[in-house]
Amino acid sequence: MKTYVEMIIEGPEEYARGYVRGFVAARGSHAEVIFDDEVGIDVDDIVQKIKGALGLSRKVVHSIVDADTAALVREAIGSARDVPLNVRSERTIDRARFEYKFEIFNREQGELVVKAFKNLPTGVALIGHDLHVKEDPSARGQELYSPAHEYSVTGHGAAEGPIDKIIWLYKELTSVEQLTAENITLAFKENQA
Amino acid sequence: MIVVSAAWAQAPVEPETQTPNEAPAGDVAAAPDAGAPVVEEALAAPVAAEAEHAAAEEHDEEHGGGHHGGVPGKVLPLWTALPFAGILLSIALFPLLAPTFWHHHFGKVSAFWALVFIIPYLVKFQGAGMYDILHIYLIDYIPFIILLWGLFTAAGGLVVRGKLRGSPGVNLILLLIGTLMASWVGTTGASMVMIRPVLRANAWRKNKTHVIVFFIFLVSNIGGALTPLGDPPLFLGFIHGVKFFWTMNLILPMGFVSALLLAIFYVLDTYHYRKETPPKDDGAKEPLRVDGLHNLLFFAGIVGGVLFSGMAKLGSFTLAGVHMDIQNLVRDGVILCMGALSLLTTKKQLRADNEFSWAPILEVAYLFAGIFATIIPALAILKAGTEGAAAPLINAVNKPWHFFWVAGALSSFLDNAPTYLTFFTTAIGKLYPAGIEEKVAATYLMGHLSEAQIAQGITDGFKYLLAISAGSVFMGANTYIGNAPNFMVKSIAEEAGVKMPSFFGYMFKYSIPILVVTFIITTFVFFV
Repeated sequence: MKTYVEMIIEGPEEYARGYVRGFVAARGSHAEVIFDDEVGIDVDDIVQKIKGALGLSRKVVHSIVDADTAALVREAIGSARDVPLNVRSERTIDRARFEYKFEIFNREQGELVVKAFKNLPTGVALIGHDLHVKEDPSARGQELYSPAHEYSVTGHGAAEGPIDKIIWLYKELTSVEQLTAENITLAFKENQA
Repeated sequence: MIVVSAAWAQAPVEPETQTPNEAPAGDVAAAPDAGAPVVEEALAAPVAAEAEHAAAEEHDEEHGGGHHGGVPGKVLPLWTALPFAGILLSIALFPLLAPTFWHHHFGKVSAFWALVFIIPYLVKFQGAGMYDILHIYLIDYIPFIILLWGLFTAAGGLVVRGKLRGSPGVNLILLLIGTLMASWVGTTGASMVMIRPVLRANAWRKNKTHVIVFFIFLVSNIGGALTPLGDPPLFLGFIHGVKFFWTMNLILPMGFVSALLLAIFYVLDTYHYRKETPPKDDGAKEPLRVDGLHNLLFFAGIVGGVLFSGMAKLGSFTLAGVHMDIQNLVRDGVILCMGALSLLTTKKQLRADNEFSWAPILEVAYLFAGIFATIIPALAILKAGTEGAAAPLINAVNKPWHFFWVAGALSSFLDNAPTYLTFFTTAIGKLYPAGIEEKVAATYLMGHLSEAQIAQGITDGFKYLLAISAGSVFMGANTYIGNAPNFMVKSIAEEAGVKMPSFFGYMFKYSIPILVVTFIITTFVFFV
């Protein structure tokens, strides 16, 4: 199992994203680089949170990369000249978690969610998970004053596990519009949080 | 258990026989009316003149328009309207609080409230009570259901196919088409026909909730303001004497509100659109086309039938004591024929593609059977004006903008059709003497007054009726429960996978900041 780190890079946001992605691509690596706002990873810096929410350019970028790639990126940034970036910190991720709730009335999307929870990635556990599938054939078709649904999947809970698996599950679930997921929170190895 | 209050026990049961020229002119002036230019002494003569005119036309209002064979509103206590409040609150709250119970039992709930009213009413008032009940079912309910059935049936045969890419421009055009269509095929019909093309066009987008919300604003509500076919409140107005084309007077407020909302929509949709990743399958676009276009002929037939009933005078007869105009029966017959022809000539597949079923119209039939029964005392009390138990309400609403907001606020939370009828009657009770013929009062409300009548001080009710109509139609969009198609659109969108806001989310995120602000501006432009 790979070890992943959260690497906080200081510098112009777009520059940092381009540099890290370009570096990894130029090495011919298939390592995945994920930036916090691309998936919805919670960051503990309130200023960055506000800037991100307002769509303003940030001076700090949180990226998630495997430990080997992180070492290479750190070395590249440290040795490069005229690159306005600096690795502020690196923390090894122990596990990740997100909470979700859903009320889905589209059968295709409901079945996707049910399937995703049935076939969880290795190492992912569900906490307080609750899921109900309800079918009411009498509610089929359009209604004006009693808009019951023929099919519904409702539920809530939290998923916890390795960061790469959690990100995969998060992306899978949030492709369904009627499922709301909170940001992913990260827990770090001891003495690093 | 039947409880009859002292007020009921003392109530005279004999029919109200007061003719317009006997109406006490002082009724209106007695109200501390700051806004209505009423001159009390001038009222009796022109009202009488109008009544004579009506008699000359052999348009018998003695039974059809008022409560002349029924229970006089001034003897009814306010609590007799409790079943009416009960059924409206049931429609508003049950779908939110107990949707499954409501889905399976709404018909029984409607019947419950109807019987809670009807049984004691008949026990107490017997023949006069029976007259009121028969009158409202024969004159209001049956034509109302027939019209909605006809429009719904013809609209169910129209299928808009094709797939456009939901850009801000395309969405704007789709909303505009739906808005313009709504006045002619009804807000329910337009919503049913247009919602799926809108959903298909925007299926690829992540942020599309606002598109559906503006669809509800414009297509399911505001677009229906121009004809009595557009929205049920206006058809009730038509049945009660408002001319078919009078509602075209709403074109300025409706155009103003629509233009403002479409502009806001375009800005909002552009903002969201820029954040979207365009779909890879651009090539899957398919031009729009409409199948079942021959149903437009049946819409034209329905319009013709309704227009005919407003213009022709074919005589009348009495059915179970209720005065019936033959031209209205012809109208209902034409609408039934148009609906039947639509059913016979439209391929079943087209209706299947629209997911057409009779469920919506059955819901309307069940619920409005209860609404129309229980509304009887409310209308009678309001029509009694300041002599009735609702005098404080009648005294409180004075100016057109009061009517716009009170009718609108109630239409936001209660169904807008009975709300319109309630305030239409309130305006009559407020502006004209008790006992005035309803269709004569409707003439004044439409602003059809001669110079002599104006000089005599009869209130020109044009702005009042405009305000009531606009408030009832526009503000049905304020909540999901304001107008029947709102819930239908929400439900169809949810089944297509769109995340729709909750009841309060819809209000606080969309209707209060966008619609209510628009209506405040509209108030200053048109109703102050």
